[in-house]
Amino acid sequence: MNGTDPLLGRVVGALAGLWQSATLYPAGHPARVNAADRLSLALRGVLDAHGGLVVDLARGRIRVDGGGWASLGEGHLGGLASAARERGVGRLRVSGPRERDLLVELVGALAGGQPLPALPAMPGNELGTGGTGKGPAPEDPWQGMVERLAALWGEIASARRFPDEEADRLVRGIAGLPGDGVVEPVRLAGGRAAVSGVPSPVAHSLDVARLSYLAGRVLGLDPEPLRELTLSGALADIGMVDVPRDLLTKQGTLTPVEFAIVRRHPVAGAEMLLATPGVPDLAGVVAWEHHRRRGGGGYPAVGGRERLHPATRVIQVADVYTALRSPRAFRPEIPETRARAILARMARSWLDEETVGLILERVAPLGLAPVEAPVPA
Amino acid sequence: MALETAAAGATAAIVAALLARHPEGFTTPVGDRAALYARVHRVLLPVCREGPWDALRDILRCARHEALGEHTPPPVRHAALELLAAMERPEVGEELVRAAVRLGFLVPDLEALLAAAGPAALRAIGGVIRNLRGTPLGEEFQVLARRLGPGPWRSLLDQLLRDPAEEVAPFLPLIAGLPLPLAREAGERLVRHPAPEIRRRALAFLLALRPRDAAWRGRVEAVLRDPDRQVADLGRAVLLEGEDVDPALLELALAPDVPAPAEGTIRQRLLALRDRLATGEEGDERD
Repeated sequence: MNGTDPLLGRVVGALAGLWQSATLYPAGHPARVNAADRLSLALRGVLDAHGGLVVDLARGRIRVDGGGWASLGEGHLGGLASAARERGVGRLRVSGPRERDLLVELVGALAGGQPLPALPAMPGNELGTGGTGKGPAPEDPWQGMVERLAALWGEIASARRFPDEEADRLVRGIAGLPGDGVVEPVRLAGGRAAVSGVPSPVAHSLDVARLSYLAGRVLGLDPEPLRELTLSGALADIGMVDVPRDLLTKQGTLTPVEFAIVRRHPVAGAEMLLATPGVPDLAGVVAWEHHRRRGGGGYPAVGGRERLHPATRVIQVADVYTALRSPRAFRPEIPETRARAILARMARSWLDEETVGLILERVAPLGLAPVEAPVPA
Repeated sequence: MALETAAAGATAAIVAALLARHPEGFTTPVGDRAALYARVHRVLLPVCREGPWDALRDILRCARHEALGEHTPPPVRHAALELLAAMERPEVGEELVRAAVRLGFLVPDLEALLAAAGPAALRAIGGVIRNLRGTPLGEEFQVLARRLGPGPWRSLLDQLLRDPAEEVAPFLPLIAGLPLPLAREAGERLVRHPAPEIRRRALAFLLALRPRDAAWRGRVEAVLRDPDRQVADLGRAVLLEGEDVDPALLELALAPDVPAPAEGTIRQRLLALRDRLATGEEGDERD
């Protein structure tokens, strides 16, 4: 940040804090609420002193009314600029409480990949038409599901509450999603999130849940076990809410300490899920086991049982397959043939061979066509 | 691929790991511990049936520690106590005993859980002990029943006194194998059972034990006027076996026109009666 105005400096710091919290935590999480409050306070200070300011999200710069542009910096806020360009968001002039709240909401929506708020047509605003000029992202069912799953993660992680009806709606939604989400990388929710500069474990979990649901359907599961399997896929990575965003976006190899932080997510996830009344037992078991390996190895290295639950074996394959087929911060998506070869190699060492065959031969092809069968009750 | 396999066993194993202190440093927040105990409570029966019993044993150890802990927050203490109380439900004892019968022997973890189930375990053991007579598992159950101590037995005897005769009968062989003071206490309590058959068997049992103290004598004397003729006879036999009493005097003391022994023991009354009779005979002779 090149600007010299300390009030503007506070706004930039608070903006970075909110961006980081919003990409890490779901809406309503205390950390995210605090960050939003901090930004509101910082903006109020600038409004009191200068009357207004303009935030050019697409170009990553900011200025007070009548002042010169200052950069938002490439470090923490680089992802915000690319997300704004991706979603067709340009600049916003903030001159009162309404725009102030709008900016807070906008940053949250960009971070979580949620629908953008309605934007006022005012001089200086280039929202929805600025930046790349693509216009607002069209409504799509994957996006709605990501939001729904993010909300469910938030309820469990911060309040240990499991809204049963909301979970049912989520499962029905996953069951009804268009089928082309599974094999086309840019259509994978997790992949799309990564491309837009917003690494989203929530979006990746949606892909895992979708593939697990299809596997359950192929296996002829009854509605209740199918619901549990789908939810288990959707919640297996919930422990990632405790992993700092920096680690998710880091280029290159993690240090041993960073790796230890990431490795804690199965334990944290199982703890959250088993301590939340109403969450199926299976979800906690899968969260704990999904990085353990067949015949020992993996993590966590203690507790649980040597033999993995069959549902875990399905979700492990779904997890690896969707991760391979999605781009990540540190690599592009892996082509289908190569992904299959990698899975086959993993099946020889730690993935369940039968499940790999099931996913590759019978489940993945389903992703090419919409699923027309009835959804679980 | 059995995707519908229940997750109860794995859940218990994971909760045990979360509650324990591990080298990997798991420390479950206090707020979550109560919920974890409640989660185990929910899967208790399938875990008793299928295991993992070592995990359940570890969880119960934590629960006991938290239930007794001075600084345990009330919700955690409450959840821990609820879990410990659930272990004493009859169906828990039945599942554990069925598991042992399926295995054919008692593994140490299962034995520890049966001990935690207390009276419920005893009741369930009583249900199968007759069929296991002479088998190694039957012997192991006998040993376990002896080791459980007086608490669970007293609790069970309270229940047995309200149960019909056919449900009490299987426990008598188990009672016979108890340490002497506990066996005698059990026999003395069952002497008050409503079913004559049980009273008879309890008396026969006491007869075999040949106890000698005053408390025992009082309990047996109470059955001398039992409405069931056989019970009364057996009570008399027990009393005569344990006391140097003239059977003729005893008959006399129990005659319908002799007042019931409201004060003192029958022995005292018999002695008084004998003195009176002796005095009366002498008087008659003088007349």
